[in-house]
Amino acid sequence: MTASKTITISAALLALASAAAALLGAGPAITAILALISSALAAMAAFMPGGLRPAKAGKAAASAAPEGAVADGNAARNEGGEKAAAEASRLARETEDKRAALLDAQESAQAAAQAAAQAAAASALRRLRFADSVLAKVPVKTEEAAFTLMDKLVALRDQSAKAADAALQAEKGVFDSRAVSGLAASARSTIAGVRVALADMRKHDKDSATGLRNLGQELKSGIELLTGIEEITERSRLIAFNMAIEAARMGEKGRGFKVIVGELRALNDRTADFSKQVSELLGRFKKYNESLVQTSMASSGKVAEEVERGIGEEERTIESLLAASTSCVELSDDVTAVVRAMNHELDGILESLQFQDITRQMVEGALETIAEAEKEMAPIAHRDETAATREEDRRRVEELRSILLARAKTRGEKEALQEVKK
Amino acid sequence: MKFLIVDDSPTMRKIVSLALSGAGHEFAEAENGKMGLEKLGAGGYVCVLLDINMPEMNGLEFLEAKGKLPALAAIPVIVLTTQDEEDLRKKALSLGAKAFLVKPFKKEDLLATLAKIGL
Repeated sequence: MTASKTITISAALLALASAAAALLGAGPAITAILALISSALAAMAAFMPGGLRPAKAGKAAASAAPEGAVADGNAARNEGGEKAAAEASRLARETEDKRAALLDAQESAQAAAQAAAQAAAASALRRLRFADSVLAKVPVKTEEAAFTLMDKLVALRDQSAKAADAALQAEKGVFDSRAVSGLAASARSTIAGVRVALADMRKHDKDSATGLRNLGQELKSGIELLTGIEEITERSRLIAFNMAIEAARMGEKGRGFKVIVGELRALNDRTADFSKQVSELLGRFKKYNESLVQTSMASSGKVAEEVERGIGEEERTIESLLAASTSCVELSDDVTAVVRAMNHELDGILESLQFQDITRQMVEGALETIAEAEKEMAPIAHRDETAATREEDRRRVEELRSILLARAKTRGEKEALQEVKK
Repeated sequence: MKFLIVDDSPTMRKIVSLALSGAGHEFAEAENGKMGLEKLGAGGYVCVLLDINMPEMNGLEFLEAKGKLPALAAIPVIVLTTQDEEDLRKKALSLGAKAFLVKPFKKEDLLATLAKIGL
């Protein structure tokens, strides 16, 4: 991996961190992890072959310097004799010594730099592995959360379906209620008709009572007329008696006349009996009529009162039925509206949950990048571990865990961080 | 009507199945293209809802393989993917997909797409 590629991945991971933070609501921890991965990759880039180039260039320059000095010594021996040659030889030796010392120092510095690079890379690798193990839990945890949520949604949708069914039944009831209100209107009309009929009946009763009273007056007149007949009968009896006296005086000549008187008497008697019987009969009729007037008036009043009370109760029942019907219509409308709104909300939640899949794919991409980085860092980080370096690494991981735990906002994040193996 | 949902994400399979069952449809699930082809071969499906990015056999490979099987070629496929890329869309449609929906999609969009192809 080149330094530029590493930096590109770091930038991509930072972008991923922001996206994951927005999508999962677990942003701070994941952002921190990915920031750490990013810094680890940046640290790794610093120790890539490209990063060591300046040291190699320095070594080349140091190697070039002594060769120039030897050439100068030889030139002096040729031009200036023994002394000069000795001086030149001394200078050459000094130069050689300096060159050797410089090379030793350079090698030591290079070895120290290499050791430092290995230690830093090993530490970065450990942090990468820690980040990897935390990140790997993200899809699992979000999937668990999504499934739990969906199970709840399914339960809610079932309940909602039942509510919708109940609302449908209520709607049916509403139609029944509407039918009831039609019936109620019809019943109201019928009751109004009954009231008219009742009023007619009262008037008719009143007319009947008046008729009966008039009949009573007629009967009374009839009885009075019969009294007149009795008087006439009494007079004709008196006339018959006188005629009998006259017939006796006439002797044999009045015999036929006597027969007529006898018949007249018999007629008078029968008329008197008839008159008496008719008078008694009319008297009884009069009593019956009076009794009938009283009874009829009392009964019809009672019946009218009962009918009136019944109609009042019927009207109250119809009114309360109509009120209940109206409430039922309103309630079923409310339930239907709530169920529709709830189903719409559920659809929205199902849409939001698709982000879990998108997040999973992003995290899988990040894990692949981390795996690639680990593979490339492993040779660099290879070194002899000591108790001191192990302790230092452990301390750093614990420090990192504490920071992430402090930033974690959800229980799931905290559990995931705690579960990561030390 | 029975649908086949082919997606490696259990969450997506569940979401799509809820959308279908909510509309009164039946469904079956497969985790990748290979398992999808096996289930589709058993018959009884009116449509396939297909993810693209899957292990074993991806969505494009599924479309290609299905197109070569005369018994299955006529069954319509709707692609559901997170990859909103024009090249991918063209490729999927050229391999016989009837529609291409990008996740996240709305339930009504899915049902409208089904209605558009007569389902």
